[in-house]
Amino acid sequence: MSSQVELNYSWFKANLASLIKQHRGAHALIHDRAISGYYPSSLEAVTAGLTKFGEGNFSVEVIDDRVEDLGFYSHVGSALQA
Amino acid sequence: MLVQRCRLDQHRLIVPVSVSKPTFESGIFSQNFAQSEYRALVDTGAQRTVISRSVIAENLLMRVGHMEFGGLHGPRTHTRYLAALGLWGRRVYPADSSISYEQSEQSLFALEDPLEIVNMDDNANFDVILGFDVLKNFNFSFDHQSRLFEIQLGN
Repeated sequence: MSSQVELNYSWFKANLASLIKQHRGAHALIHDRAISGYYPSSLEAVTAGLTKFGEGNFSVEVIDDRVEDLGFYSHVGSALQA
Repeated sequence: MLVQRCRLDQHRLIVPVSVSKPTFESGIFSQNFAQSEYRALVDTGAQRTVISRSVIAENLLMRVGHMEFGGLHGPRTHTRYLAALGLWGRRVYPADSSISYEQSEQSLFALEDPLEIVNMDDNANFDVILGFDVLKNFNFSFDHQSRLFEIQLGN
Protein backbone atom coordinates (compact mmCIF):
# COMPACT_ATOMS: atom_id res chain seq x y z
CA MET A 1 0.00 0.00 0.00
CA SER A 2 1.36 3.45 -0.93
CA SER A 3 2.09 5.83 1.91
CA GLN A 4 0.56 9.26 2.33
CA VAL A 5 3.91 10.76 1.23
CA GLU A 6 3.88 8.80 -2.07
CA LEU A 7 0.19 9.41 -2.82
CA ASN A 8 0.59 13.12 -2.10
CA TYR A 9 3.67 13.31 -4.32
CA SER A 10 1.82 11.80 -7.31
CA TRP A 11 -0.92 14.36 -6.82
CA PHE A 12 1.61 17.17 -6.38
CA LYS A 13 3.51 16.33 -9.61
CA ALA A 14 0.25 16.27 -11.54
CA ASN A 15 -0.67 19.72 -10.21
CA LEU A 16 2.76 21.39 -10.07
CA ALA A 17 2.29 23.39 -13.28
CA SER A 18 -0.80 25.15 -11.93
CA LEU A 19 0.57 25.58 -8.37
CA ILE A 20 3.78 27.17 -9.61
CA LYS A 21 1.95 30.07 -11.26
CA GLN A 22 0.95 31.56 -7.91
CA HIS A 23 3.12 29.89 -5.29
CA ARG A 24 6.62 29.42 -6.76
CA GLY A 25 9.17 28.90 -4.00
CA ALA A 26 6.62 28.18 -1.27
CA HIS A 27 6.51 24.96 0.73
CA ALA A 28 3.19 23.19 0.41
CA LEU A 29 1.77 21.19 3.30
CA ILE A 30 -0.23 18.36 1.70
CA HIS A 31 -2.74 16.08 3.42
CA ASP A 32 -4.90 13.47 1.64
CA ARG A 33 -3.88 14.82 -1.80
CA ALA A 34 -4.97 18.40 -1.06
CA ILE A 35 -3.06 21.51 -0.07
CA SER A 36 -3.47 22.33 3.60
CA GLY A 37 -1.30 25.45 3.58
CA TYR A 38 1.66 27.32 2.09
CA TYR A 39 4.73 28.15 4.21
CA PRO A 40 7.92 30.14 3.65
CA SER A 41 10.15 27.32 4.95
CA SER A 42 9.96 23.58 4.94
CA LEU A 43 10.51 23.34 8.70
CA GLU A 44 7.51 25.61 9.31
CA ALA A 45 5.40 23.41 7.05
CA VAL A 46 6.61 20.22 8.78
CA THR A 47 5.89 21.74 12.20
CA ALA A 48 2.34 22.60 11.06
CA GLY A 49 1.92 19.11 9.58
CA LEU A 50 3.00 17.36 12.78
CA THR A 51 0.71 19.58 14.85
CA LYS A 52 -2.35 19.17 12.61
CA PHE A 53 -2.04 15.62 11.29
CA GLY A 54 0.74 13.73 13.11
CA GLU A 55 3.71 11.84 11.72
CA GLY A 56 3.09 9.91 8.52
CA ASN A 57 -0.17 11.68 7.74
CA PHE A 58 1.12 14.55 5.63
CA SER A 59 3.96 15.59 3.35
CA VAL A 60 5.73 18.80 2.37
CA GLU A 61 6.82 19.57 -1.19
CA VAL A 62 8.65 22.57 -2.58
CA ILE A 63 6.71 24.35 -5.33
CA ASP A 64 9.53 24.76 -7.83
CA ASP A 65 10.75 23.18 -11.04
CA ARG A 66 14.46 23.86 -10.47
CA VAL A 67 16.70 20.98 -9.50
CA GLU A 68 19.44 21.17 -6.85
CA ASP A 69 22.98 19.79 -7.00
CA LEU A 70 24.21 17.07 -4.66
CA GLY A 71 27.88 17.68 -5.49
CA PHE A 72 29.91 14.47 -5.37
CA TYR A 73 26.80 12.30 -5.26
CA SER A 74 25.15 14.00 -8.24
CA HIS A 75 28.09 13.25 -10.47
CA VAL A 76 29.68 10.01 -9.32
CA GLY A 77 27.08 8.59 -6.94
CA SER A 78 26.11 5.76 -9.25
CA ALA A 79 29.66 4.44 -9.11
CA LEU A 80 29.33 4.00 -5.35
CA GLN A 81 26.66 1.39 -5.74
CA ALA A 82 29.18 -1.19 -6.99
CA MET B 1 37.04 26.43 21.19
CA LEU B 2 35.49 23.17 19.99
CA VAL B 3 36.91 22.12 16.61
CA GLN B 4 37.12 19.08 14.39
CA ARG B 5 40.37 18.44 12.55
CA CYS B 6 41.00 15.82 9.94
CA ARG B 7 43.59 15.05 7.30
CA LEU B 8 43.01 14.26 3.66
CA ASP B 9 42.18 10.59 3.17
CA GLN B 10 42.56 9.62 -0.52
CA HIS B 11 41.80 13.23 -1.44
CA ARG B 12 38.69 13.15 0.72
CA LEU B 13 37.85 14.87 3.99
CA ILE B 14 35.91 12.65 6.38
CA VAL B 15 34.60 13.93 9.73
CA PRO B 16 32.65 12.07 12.46
CA VAL B 17 28.97 12.94 12.94
CA SER B 18 25.93 11.58 14.76
CA VAL B 19 22.39 11.34 13.46
CA SER B 20 19.09 10.93 15.28
CA LYS B 21 15.37 11.30 14.82
CA PRO B 22 14.12 14.61 16.25
CA THR B 23 11.25 14.28 18.69
CA PHE B 24 8.28 16.64 18.49
CA GLU B 25 6.23 17.52 21.55
CA SER B 26 3.94 20.49 22.23
CA GLY B 27 5.10 22.23 19.06
CA ILE B 28 8.80 22.00 19.91
CA PHE B 29 11.54 19.82 18.43
CA SER B 30 14.15 18.26 20.66
CA GLN B 31 16.97 15.83 19.99
CA ASN B 32 18.65 13.01 21.81
CA PHE B 33 21.72 11.42 20.26
CA ALA B 34 23.06 7.91 20.72
CA GLN B 35 26.82 7.69 20.88
CA SER B 36 27.08 6.09 17.43
CA GLU B 37 29.40 7.85 14.99
CA TYR B 38 29.08 7.96 11.22
CA ARG B 39 31.60 8.92 8.55
CA ALA B 40 30.68 12.19 6.79
CA LEU B 41 32.30 13.36 3.56
CA VAL B 42 32.81 17.14 3.48
CA ASP B 43 31.44 18.31 0.12
CA THR B 44 31.21 22.07 -0.46
CA GLY B 45 29.64 21.37 -3.87
CA ALA B 46 26.55 19.72 -2.39
CA GLN B 47 23.64 22.07 -1.75
CA ARG B 48 22.08 19.66 0.71
CA THR B 49 23.22 17.02 3.19
CA VAL B 50 22.75 13.41 2.11
CA ILE B 51 22.48 10.30 4.34
CA SER B 52 22.69 6.64 3.34
CA ARG B 53 19.59 4.46 3.34
CA SER B 54 20.93 2.20 6.09
CA VAL B 55 21.61 5.12 8.48
CA ILE B 56 18.14 6.53 7.73
CA ALA B 57 16.59 3.14 8.55
CA GLU B 58 18.74 2.62 11.65
CA ASN B 59 17.61 5.96 13.09
CA LEU B 60 13.96 5.69 11.93
CA LEU B 61 14.10 9.14 10.32
CA MET B 62 10.75 10.64 9.36
CA ARG B 63 9.94 10.91 5.67
CA VAL B 64 8.58 14.36 4.80
CA GLY B 65 8.60 14.68 0.99
CA HIS B 66 10.72 14.61 -2.14
CA MET B 67 13.26 16.69 -4.01
CA GLU B 68 14.74 16.58 -7.50
CA PHE B 69 18.48 16.80 -8.11
CA GLY B 70 20.50 17.21 -11.27
CA GLY B 71 23.08 14.63 -12.32
CA LEU B 72 25.05 13.27 -15.24
CA HIS B 73 22.10 11.16 -16.35
CA GLY B 74 19.39 13.77 -15.84
CA PRO B 75 17.29 14.70 -12.81
CA ARG B 76 16.73 12.14 -10.06
CA THR B 77 14.05 12.20 -7.39
CA HIS B 78 15.22 11.66 -3.81
CA THR B 79 13.16 11.30 -0.66
CA ARG B 80 13.52 14.03 1.99
CA TYR B 81 13.74 13.12 5.67
CA LEU B 82 13.89 15.12 8.88
CA ALA B 83 17.07 14.53 10.91
CA ALA B 84 18.92 15.88 13.91
CA LEU B 85 22.63 16.14 13.18
CA GLY B 86 25.64 16.63 15.41
CA LEU B 87 29.33 17.02 14.60
CA TRP B 88 31.99 15.58 16.88
CA GLY B 89 34.88 17.80 17.92
CA ARG B 90 37.61 18.22 20.49
CA ARG B 91 38.32 21.23 22.64
CA VAL B 92 41.44 23.23 21.75
CA TYR B 93 43.27 24.65 24.76
CA PRO B 94 45.81 27.51 24.74
CA ALA B 95 49.25 26.67 23.38
CA ASP B 96 50.81 26.66 26.86
CA SER B 97 48.33 24.06 28.14
CA SER B 98 49.51 20.52 28.79
CA ILE B 99 46.41 19.11 27.03
CA SER B 100 46.88 18.58 23.32
CA TYR B 101 44.07 18.38 20.75
CA GLU B 102 44.45 14.60 20.52
CA GLN B 103 44.31 14.25 24.30
CA SER B 104 41.16 16.29 24.83
CA GLU B 105 37.88 14.44 25.09
CA GLN B 106 35.43 14.30 22.16
CA SER B 107 32.21 16.34 22.46
CA LEU B 108 29.19 16.45 20.21
CA PHE B 109 28.07 19.79 18.78
CA ALA B 110 24.39 19.40 17.86
CA LEU B 111 22.78 21.65 15.26
CA GLU B 112 20.00 23.63 16.93
CA ASP B 113 17.24 22.96 14.40
CA PRO B 114 16.28 19.71 12.65
CA LEU B 115 17.64 19.41 9.16
CA GLU B 116 16.05 18.17 5.97
CA ILE B 117 18.31 15.63 4.34
CA VAL B 118 17.91 13.37 1.30
CA ASN B 119 18.71 9.70 0.87
CA MET B 120 21.51 7.99 -1.07
CA ASP B 121 22.52 4.41 -1.72
CA ASP B 122 24.81 2.77 0.84
CA ASN B 123 28.52 2.68 0.04
CA ALA B 124 31.67 1.48 1.76
CA ASN B 125 33.40 4.87 1.97
CA PHE B 126 31.08 7.14 3.96
CA ASP B 127 27.59 7.28 5.48
CA VAL B 128 26.81 10.98 5.11
CA ILE B 129 27.67 13.77 2.67
CA LEU B 130 27.95 17.02 4.59
CA GLY B 131 26.60 19.69 2.23
CA PHE B 132 26.71 23.45 2.32
CA ASP B 133 23.35 23.59 4.13
CA VAL B 134 25.33 22.50 7.21
CA LEU B 135 28.80 23.85 6.38
CA LYS B 136 27.48 27.41 5.94
CA ASN B 137 26.95 27.57 9.72
CA PHE B 138 30.66 27.27 10.54
CA ASN B 139 34.08 28.74 9.84
CA PHE B 140 36.32 26.15 8.24
CA SER B 141 39.73 26.08 6.60
CA PHE B 142 42.20 23.80 4.83
CA ASP B 143 45.98 24.08 5.21
CA HIS B 144 47.51 22.71 2.02
CA GLN B 145 50.95 22.23 3.59
CA SER B 146 49.81 20.08 6.51
CA ARG B 147 46.82 18.72 4.53
CA LEU B 148 44.77 19.56 7.62
CA PHE B 149 41.09 20.55 7.50
CA GLU B 150 39.62 22.36 10.49
CA ILE B 151 36.03 23.25 11.20
CA GLN B 152 35.21 25.48 14.18
CA LEU B 153 32.13 24.16 15.90
CA GLY B 154 31.67 26.49 18.86
CA ASN B 155 33.17 27.99 21.99
